[in-house]
Amino acid sequence: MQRTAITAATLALLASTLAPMPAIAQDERRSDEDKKDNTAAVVAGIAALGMGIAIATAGRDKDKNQWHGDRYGDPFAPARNVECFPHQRTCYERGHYSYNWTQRIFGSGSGSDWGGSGGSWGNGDLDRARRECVGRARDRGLRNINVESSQPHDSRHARVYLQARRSSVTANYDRWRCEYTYSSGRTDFKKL
Amino acid sequence: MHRTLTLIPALVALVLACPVAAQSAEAPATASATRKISRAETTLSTRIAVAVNGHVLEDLKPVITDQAKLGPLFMRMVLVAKQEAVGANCAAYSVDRKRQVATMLGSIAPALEGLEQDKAQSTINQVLRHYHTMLGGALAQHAADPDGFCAAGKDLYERLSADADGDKVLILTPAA
Repeated sequence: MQRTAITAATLALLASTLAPMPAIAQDERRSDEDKKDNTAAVVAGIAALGMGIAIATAGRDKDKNQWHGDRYGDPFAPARNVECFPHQRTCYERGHYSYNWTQRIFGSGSGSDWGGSGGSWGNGDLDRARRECVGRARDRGLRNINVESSQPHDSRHARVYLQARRSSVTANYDRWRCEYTYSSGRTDFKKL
Repeated sequence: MHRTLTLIPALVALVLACPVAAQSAEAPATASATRKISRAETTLSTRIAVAVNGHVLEDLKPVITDQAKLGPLFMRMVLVAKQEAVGANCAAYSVDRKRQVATMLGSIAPALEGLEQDKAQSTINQVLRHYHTMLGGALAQHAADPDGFCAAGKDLYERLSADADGDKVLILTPAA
């Protein structure tokens, strides 16, 4: 849909660009009437451009206060002035990237919901909790898992909040809390 | 006596309020405290960063299809771009170019494993192009909130310096 809209805008832009061209190529002895025709062509081109842009942006304006879920996930605030973005696995504090909160909530970039162990630096305990919880959630039959957040609960436990969708194209999801015990590696699941 | 009695509700209210007051902004969120946020609630600076970085991440997905490689690379790009913008704008810091090159090469390397030379070069070019998109986003964040940006840069420098793993991606040095 969006691609169609962008195509419409592009065509409109081409129309507006090309419309005056034949007129420019005409003989210099243009009459006033010719000039009016050219003006009409330019106006029509600009109008077409405007319509194209309107079509292309209409959908976005409609939900300008909403996040595009496929790009951002479901952004959440784990504390005051802190904003976290699950799909980008980054957190911002007072509007700026926070290394501390990013590590705390998402662990390192090597976490399992990036698809495996592709890095080596990060928060070992929370990473392990996330990895184990996601792995065991899959063992329980949960599919299309997104880690919403992971956080230390107390000195012995971490809590990992998971979203599981029946299908990758389904918007609805079940929310689960996985409590991970550092010492034993035990996980307890609770559907929220 | 009467005065004492009138103080009791105030004391009760104070005791009830204490747990809330004690919960600082740094406290980890509980399930009930973690709440979804709308775009309108976020700062301009955050919206700039996530819009630019989200664009980069989506564009890199078809280039680096292995998420286990893309994820760490993306995070390092975020960190390095942020630091480069800090070094360019904040008086207290400058960028160690040798460390920057080494960090970028080390970050890209896993994504190049097993690729033919042409494909590897193409991947490097695209990663660098997207890195500069991210840098543009970080520079825009500074323009939107210079003081907040440099304060966050100071915090980032201190945390990366103090973290053995973070030190691997540290490219800032205190300005001479």
